[in-house]
Amino acid sequence: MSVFDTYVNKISEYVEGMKAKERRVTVFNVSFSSAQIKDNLPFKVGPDANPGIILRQDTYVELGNPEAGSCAFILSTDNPSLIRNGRITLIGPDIPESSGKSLPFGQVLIFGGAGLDDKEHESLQQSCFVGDSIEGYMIRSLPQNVWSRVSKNVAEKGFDFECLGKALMSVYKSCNSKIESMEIVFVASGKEDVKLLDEISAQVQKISREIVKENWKIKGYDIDCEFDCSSCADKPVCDDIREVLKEKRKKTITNTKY
Amino acid sequence: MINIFSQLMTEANKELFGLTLDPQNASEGPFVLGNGDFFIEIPVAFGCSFSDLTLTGANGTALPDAAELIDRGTEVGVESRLCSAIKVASHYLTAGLIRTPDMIITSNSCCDAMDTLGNLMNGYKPWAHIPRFAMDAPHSFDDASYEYFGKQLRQAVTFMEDVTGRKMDWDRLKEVCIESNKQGQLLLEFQELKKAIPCPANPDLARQGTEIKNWTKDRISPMVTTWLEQLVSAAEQRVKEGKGIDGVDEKIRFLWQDLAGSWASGTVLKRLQTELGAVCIMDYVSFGTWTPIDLSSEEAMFTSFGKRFLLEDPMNRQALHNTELFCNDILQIVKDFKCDAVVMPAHISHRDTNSRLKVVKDMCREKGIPCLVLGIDIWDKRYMTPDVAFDRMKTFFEVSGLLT
Repeated sequence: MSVFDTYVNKISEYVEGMKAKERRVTVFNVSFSSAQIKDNLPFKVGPDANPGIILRQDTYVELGNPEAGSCAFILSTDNPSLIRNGRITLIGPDIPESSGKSLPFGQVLIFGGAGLDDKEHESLQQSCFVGDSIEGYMIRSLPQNVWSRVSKNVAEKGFDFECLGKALMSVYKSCNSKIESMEIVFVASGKEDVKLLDEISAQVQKISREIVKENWKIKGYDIDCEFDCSSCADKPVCDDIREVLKEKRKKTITNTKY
Repeated sequence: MINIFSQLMTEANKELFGLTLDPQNASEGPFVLGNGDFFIEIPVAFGCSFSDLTLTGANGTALPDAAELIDRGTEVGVESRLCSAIKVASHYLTAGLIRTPDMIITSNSCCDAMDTLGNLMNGYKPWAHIPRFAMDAPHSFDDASYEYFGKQLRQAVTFMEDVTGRKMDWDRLKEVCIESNKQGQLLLEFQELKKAIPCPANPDLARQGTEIKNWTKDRISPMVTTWLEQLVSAAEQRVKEGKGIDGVDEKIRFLWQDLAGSWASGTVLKRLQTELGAVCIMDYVSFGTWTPIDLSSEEAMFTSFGKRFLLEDPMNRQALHNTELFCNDILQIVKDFKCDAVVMPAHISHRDTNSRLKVVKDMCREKGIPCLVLGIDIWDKRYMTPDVAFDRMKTFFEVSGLLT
């Protein structure tokens, strides 16, 4: 059982919640095989498929500008029954109908595989570089979010969220052989909906950080100091310094009520 | 040939070198003195003068008599390896060269040196009668921390109102934030353009853009927006044309994981660029995340300020938090901006960074990224001269196979 299983279920509940709120929900079911997925796409996918920059004037739609709302995270599980393999769920409008717009954007990538234990989670986060891999799709550098642009050129060729989902599946499948199944949820319906997703993301990030910490520990590093005052041998020294500072402050600080 | 980038650089330098001991954000109103740049939008909207004494000290290290100023700072009695910028600030303070402020607002971040300066300001006897407000910056980056610091910033506004008897004009603050958001987006736009190979403009313009936006007398003014718009438009044009920096045959792209300080840009980094085609794509100040200020409510606005300060202020981002964030930023910059190498200047006073050098080196080795640790004083070129730094970096690029 993976620590993220609960959150995979929470995403399903989130999608149901969006349906209950009568958001437009579109589901695409695709075959999760990288070769097939790639072959059917009207644009290139793979290393260096998108070597250039998409300039403002060449942008068809922008996704996840922080002003519009942005959230992205990944989940992994070793329980394949939790994943609806090949499913791409879109909540909100699609790309072709959003010319010139800046859409809010939430993206959840859910990976399944017997070898995807908690330690593999960090590698999933770091190993795949989507930035250059999808023609006409540029991901901007903003830690913890996905802020991206779709070019006018690929929009003309029919780039939509189904295509984006297929391309992401292809990229991830090819860079990590432990991924056996994959499901994606995109949210473009509104800032509030992305914010709700962000609440789940905050919990997931906390767990991810703990996993990262453990992985660092295995390498011999403690990335957060674990000492607290009660266990530190230097506590008496610090206490003395605090007392001196307190006295000093009493003498020097005047005329303040804050 | 003078091109648009040279003009923009000249304008930026005029702004930055124009900073003296006078308030950095001069206005008719009262004068607030701080030890950091935690007040970007607030003093502009409040119509008061503001100075960040750390920045005043840093600017001093760029003056012709920098060495003398740094030595005078050491004579104040501060710890000998304290940051040279703070040494100069300490000298300015204790020599009575700083205009007496109407109030002092300090924070305990982002480094031990700035904290020391805050304590010096708060303990400076001639100013004992000055009202002061001290903020506590948590060493964490989550919503609770942003709210915690945001609330203190909100209290600081009340403090300013009480001291001056004036009221904050909330509509004006919103206006300032809208302008600031525009500028943040333009800085991010230029940052993206630096991903192009070859880099379309001197990447140092990103640092200068950030500095004139946040630190000069014209901070957040429409003049800065115009400067940034010109920069982005010109760089976009170069990307379209597939052109790089004038006179530079780009061969190597590297990350300088620290501040550029007062001397590196004009000496070692400039030489590396022109003589070896080694372009410094990013440094602390030019890597911005700049989440827009949320204007939906007063609370949201101040929480945004808190986030900006704790997580997005260039040095706070790298100095205040844990090694994971520090390392992730390095990896992301290297990947996104196609850097061939990481240079850790290891500024002698950045103890937070220096405690992570081995972790960073191990990580880079694991990922196959060439990494050099220099060990310089970014404010005092006597510690390691620009020529020595250049030679070391040249040798590093040669032995790592990046320069043939």
